[in-house]
Amino acid sequence: MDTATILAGISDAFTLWNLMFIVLGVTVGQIIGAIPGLNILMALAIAIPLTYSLDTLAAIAFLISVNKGGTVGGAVPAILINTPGTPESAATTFDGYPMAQKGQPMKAMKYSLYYSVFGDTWSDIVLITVSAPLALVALKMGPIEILALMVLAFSVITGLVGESMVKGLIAAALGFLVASVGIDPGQGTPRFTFGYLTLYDGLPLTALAVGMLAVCEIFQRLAQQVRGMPAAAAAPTRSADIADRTVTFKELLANKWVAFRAALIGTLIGAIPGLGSATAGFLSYSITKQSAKDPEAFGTGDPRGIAASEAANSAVVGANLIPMLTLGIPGNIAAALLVSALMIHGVQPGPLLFEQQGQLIYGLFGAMLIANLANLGVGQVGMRFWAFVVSAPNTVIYPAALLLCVTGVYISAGGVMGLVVMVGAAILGYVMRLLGLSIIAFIVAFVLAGQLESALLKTMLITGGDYMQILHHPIAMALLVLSVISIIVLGRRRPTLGRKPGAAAAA
Amino acid sequence: MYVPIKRLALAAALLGTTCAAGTAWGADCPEGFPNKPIDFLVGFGAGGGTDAIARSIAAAIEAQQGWTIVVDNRPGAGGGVMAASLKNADADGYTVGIAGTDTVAIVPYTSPDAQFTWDDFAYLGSGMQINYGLVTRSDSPFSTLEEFIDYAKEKGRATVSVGGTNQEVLVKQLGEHFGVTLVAVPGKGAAAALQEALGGHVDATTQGSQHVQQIQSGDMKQLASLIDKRVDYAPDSKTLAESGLDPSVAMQAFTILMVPKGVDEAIMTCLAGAVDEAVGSDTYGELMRNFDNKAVNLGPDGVTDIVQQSATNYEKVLAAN
Amino acid sequence: MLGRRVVGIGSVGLGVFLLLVGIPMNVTSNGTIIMNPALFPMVAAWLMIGLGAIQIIVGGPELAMPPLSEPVRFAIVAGLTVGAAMLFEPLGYLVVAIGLMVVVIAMIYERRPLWVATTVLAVPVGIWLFFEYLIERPLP
Repeated sequence: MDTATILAGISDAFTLWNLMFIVLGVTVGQIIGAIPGLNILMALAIAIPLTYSLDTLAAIAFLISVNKGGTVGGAVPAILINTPGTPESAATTFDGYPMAQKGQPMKAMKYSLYYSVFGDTWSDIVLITVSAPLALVALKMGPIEILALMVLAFSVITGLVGESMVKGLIAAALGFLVASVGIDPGQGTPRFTFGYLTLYDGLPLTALAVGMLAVCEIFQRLAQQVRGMPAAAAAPTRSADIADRTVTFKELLANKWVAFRAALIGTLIGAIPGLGSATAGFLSYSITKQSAKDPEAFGTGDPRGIAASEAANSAVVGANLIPMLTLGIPGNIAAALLVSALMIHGVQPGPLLFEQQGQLIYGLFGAMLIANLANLGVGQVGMRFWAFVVSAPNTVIYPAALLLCVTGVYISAGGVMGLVVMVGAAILGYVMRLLGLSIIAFIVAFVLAGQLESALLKTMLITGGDYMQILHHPIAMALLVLSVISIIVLGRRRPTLGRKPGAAAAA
Repeated sequence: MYVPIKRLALAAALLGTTCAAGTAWGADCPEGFPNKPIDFLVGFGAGGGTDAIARSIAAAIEAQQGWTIVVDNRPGAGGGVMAASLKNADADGYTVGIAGTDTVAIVPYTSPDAQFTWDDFAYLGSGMQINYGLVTRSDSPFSTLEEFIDYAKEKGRATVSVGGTNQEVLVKQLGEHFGVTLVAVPGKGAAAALQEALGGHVDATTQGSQHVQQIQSGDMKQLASLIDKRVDYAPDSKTLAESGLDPSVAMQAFTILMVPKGVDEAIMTCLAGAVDEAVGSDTYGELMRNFDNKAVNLGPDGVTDIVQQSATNYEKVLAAN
Repeated sequence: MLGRRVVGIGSVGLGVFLLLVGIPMNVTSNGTIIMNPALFPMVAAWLMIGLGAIQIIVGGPELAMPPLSEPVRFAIVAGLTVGAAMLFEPLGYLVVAIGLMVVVIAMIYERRPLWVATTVLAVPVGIWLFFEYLIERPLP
């Protein structure tokens, strides 16, 4: 790739026309991301037809901006009303919401915005500079390595299980069970589908996550409303103290290692196709919590928690394009929609992309960096707007949020069936809350179980049951050793198995 | 903000009383159709060949007819999830399904809960023939199907990642024919299968569209063409029939558009006309060039014949298993 | 009192039910591939039994339960939502959404006219307009 092409490409991004679409895209993404029940996929699906008549660069810049805006927007309701706008920002509720409840909603949103943009920018730079070699490394992650990675993820994430390890694991077992709904990955026979073909693809994650995390919270709020109680604002609005509303550069720098590690985790998870940003957020949060000297501070409004979650889930966005642009393999469904959009515009992502469309790709890179800045700017305005919205009384916010969830899930997750799943998940979530079973352990197990099962199956098929073959897979062995270490460290951290008082994020 | 405003104006126009504007071009449509957005249900996830075809046809129809088309992915069970909801949709022409012929030719015989057969749908036309190929990394020690079989015999077994049931069936048939263990490794679609083959985790993979660029870039080579003829991008790789297999084993799959049975005759003509025009468009042609494939519209009758034929064939093969 | 053993008992019960009834009834294997489709559900069931047993032994302090009115009201709101979901297609979105908001707002004792109007009218109409026109996803 010669420098002239790179420069020509990047300068292509700087037309007024493109800048306009980047800002528009970021705005659309932030709004849709912030609405519970609507997710980034929905935002992209809506945005794609808008790009039919645009030139290719403006179209792709617009779509990637929507994607980037969505990850920022998702954190807003997570912080303000404890209902994550998108599944990937679920880990942001752990510390974002408590911080907002302490009277610092603006501060929490600013932390979230800044770390999100940091993670995003970092992974964009990785994408721009070392995507080709990184993609080759990611290719080395075959089923056996993914299996080992899943084992590691489970061993680390057990740190999120809440007040008691045993109950956390019970919740995880439930997640396993629910994840097995749908056709089994090997034989293709139906499991727990009760004759409904719509369940063959498994329970829709959107409906399940929105139900358990957002609708459950909304139902509970509505149920707790008592006659005669003054209807409070959904979140404390403005604190008089300026320190509660702003984040200084020093405060941001205090968590630089946390944010850096989170960005690194997000980039790696993003570069491996199929793992997803929800995994990155949870994994980063739990690693951060467990490696902290004071893990009990997490869940009480600790900025490190916000940094760990947001920098990681945003870093997935740029990194997801690594396998897509270099190999033609989309990293997740959002990237897959981008592949489709590119193909509609006559561009085929894959190994020849850089050669054939170098200028376009560098234009896209330029647009991504601009989009990060736009995210920062639009986010600044947006958070004031959202803070204003939630200053309306509870009696407006929660019913409105309910109707949005219902409508969004109806549209994006398979109609009435999606809504039934959503309400069912909300009820299950409530029962689990009452019993002190961690909802997060459930969701994480649900998200990872499918990947674990598929990786296990493929490993069995590929090795033909010869488990000694793992000796030929150094990456897998290293990951397994890491899991053993983390279990030992965790075990030492939790001497009071089963009775530890609930300092952790029970959620 | 030119585009969204245009879209809004368009939506407003569509919801207004006159939508005759939509019928000004090409397709021969009854008065007042369509008076709301048309839903395209894609039987597979985003990012794959079927999805790209659906979106490209949708874009072409929007441009040519001035209609609004909403593209929705309903992946699962090889397009079966989409087919099931399409069957239950109103037969008013506002819901169109896009899938492969295999969705209606195989899924009813592999999924006990599939409450549909190919006969529950009426077909509008096709977008292209899917050029399935058996491909492997270019540094693999074998370059033809025969060498691959020898390699598998020597090793005792070989693995092939597949993107769907139709390919799983084929891999099994290949193994039986040559008397060797070929293990089909199923996964979540063609992209995952490609990834495993590129990473060297499996010996080969079956692909429908994404392998073309990999072959052109020199990262992969084709061992055999799995359809009834050789393909331009790998002219030296033989068809299965040339390697001595029964010609009926060859895959004959098209990307097809369908509606629930019972749609009004005039609306069928209108939709089929719109599809035909879109398949002939430049934008769609460009997509086909990227796949190194050709736009092929068999028309309503042609698709119905193919679907019926391959459904009969698969019903027999799968019952024998 | 049973204390947290309730959770353990429930967990063991669910696990046993799955092993004896749930899995055999809803999961079938055709034996064509190396891994049994019932493997993961069985692992989940055994985990529930094992962990539940530990929980029964370990026990723990009483669970803090909310007043009975809360789960009852929760169930009512959940039921209303499912009811609304069922009615969307026959009755149309706007009618059902406004109806749902009326019942919900009555349940949460909001009486100030302005806020009632916002929730009952502005919110459903706004959401409907948003979906129907701005993003062109037609609602029933």
